Amino acid sequence: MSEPLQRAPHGAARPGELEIVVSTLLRAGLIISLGTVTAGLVVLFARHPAELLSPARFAALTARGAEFPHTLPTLVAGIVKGDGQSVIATGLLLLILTPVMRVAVSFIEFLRAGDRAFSLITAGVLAVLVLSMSLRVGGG
Amino acid sequence: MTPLGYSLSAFGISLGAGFLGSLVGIGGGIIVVPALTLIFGFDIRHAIGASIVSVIATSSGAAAGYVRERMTNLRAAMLLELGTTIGAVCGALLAGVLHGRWLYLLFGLMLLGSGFAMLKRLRDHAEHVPPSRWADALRLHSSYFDERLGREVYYRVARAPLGLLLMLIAGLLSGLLGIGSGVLKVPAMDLAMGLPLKVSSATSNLMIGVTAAASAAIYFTRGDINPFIAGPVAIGIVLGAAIGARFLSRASHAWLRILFVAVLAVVALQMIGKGLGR
Repeated sequence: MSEPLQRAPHGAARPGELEIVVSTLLRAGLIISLGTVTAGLVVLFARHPAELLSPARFAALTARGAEFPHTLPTLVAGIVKGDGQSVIATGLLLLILTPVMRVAVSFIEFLRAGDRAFSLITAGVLAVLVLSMSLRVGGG
Repeated sequence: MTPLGYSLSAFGISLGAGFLGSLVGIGGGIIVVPALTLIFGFDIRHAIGASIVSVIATSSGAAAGYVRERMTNLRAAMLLELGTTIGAVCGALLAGVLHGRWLYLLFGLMLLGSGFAMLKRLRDHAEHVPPSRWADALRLHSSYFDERLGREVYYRVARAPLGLLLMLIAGLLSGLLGIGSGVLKVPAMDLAMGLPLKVSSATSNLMIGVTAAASAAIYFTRGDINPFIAGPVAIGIVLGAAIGARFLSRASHAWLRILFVAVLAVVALQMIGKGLGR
């Protein structure tokens, strides 16, 4: 019981629509997020050049209980103030959201294709991801 | 150490980790966590937080290429991601309550296990693939173009429920330790579910991103992803992996593999030593 041969018997078959969308999205997400992270590092150092070589500043930045933005309101407030750490954190958040977007796009594609079972499976994965983003576990 | 000094050295180390990782066929998480804890002395949760975002970055970069080449089984990936994401959420929550000492111990043991797996070269692909009603109903069977054979290779998928269960465990370990856990995902697909090794490895690459995103979201909101620590690591590892992928095909250098396993063993013992409190 073999699958019907849909592709040319010689040479690699072309990628389908979903493949192209997913691949482009992953690449774009990676470039945008890492670009933002780099910009944040530049801002962090450019705004406080004197701190570049300060061991005390390094200790403060990396200490166990170091303060840095990790909620949406503090991120937005930080970016408005031109805080480099907030820009880096935003880049990292975009990085985390890239695979989530991939699942969301797949969900839409499965819906459009009328694939009931896979629309449901993809919705399940999406639900777990949304749950993980909305779980506000206490600071540790 | 100064802020500039850290940024440059973390970038350099991650560049090396990404490069080496792509040569021997693993993500960089296995190298990043020991480097950040043993060299810089950071809190292991901050190290895991930095590692988990760099794992997402490596996955997105590698998967983009594999998906376009149609090497990835997108349907099998989506089904199995149900298991890996649920496991990852549990792992990330567990990491928040476990004592740091247990994380060191588990990480050390995981490194030893990975070393063994790499030595054994999990290449004995399951030839006989039993029929599977699940895989038939969900149309998981697929094909890919094998460059070496010069033709389209059709394959059938089996044991989907067992695969899901194994992925739950892989996700748990990924969320707990901040690694991609491709070491578990690839054999689960290759040996248990009958996917060809190349497809297993490409599909694992894609799944690692979503798995890590599920736990990274929890690490992020918990304040375990320090942007200053994680930023240079993520950039370095992606560039390193991109250079490595261009360099040579991964199977060719057996000595590199052996050297890498030796390094893994030394690091594993150091992590275990730290967990036991020396």
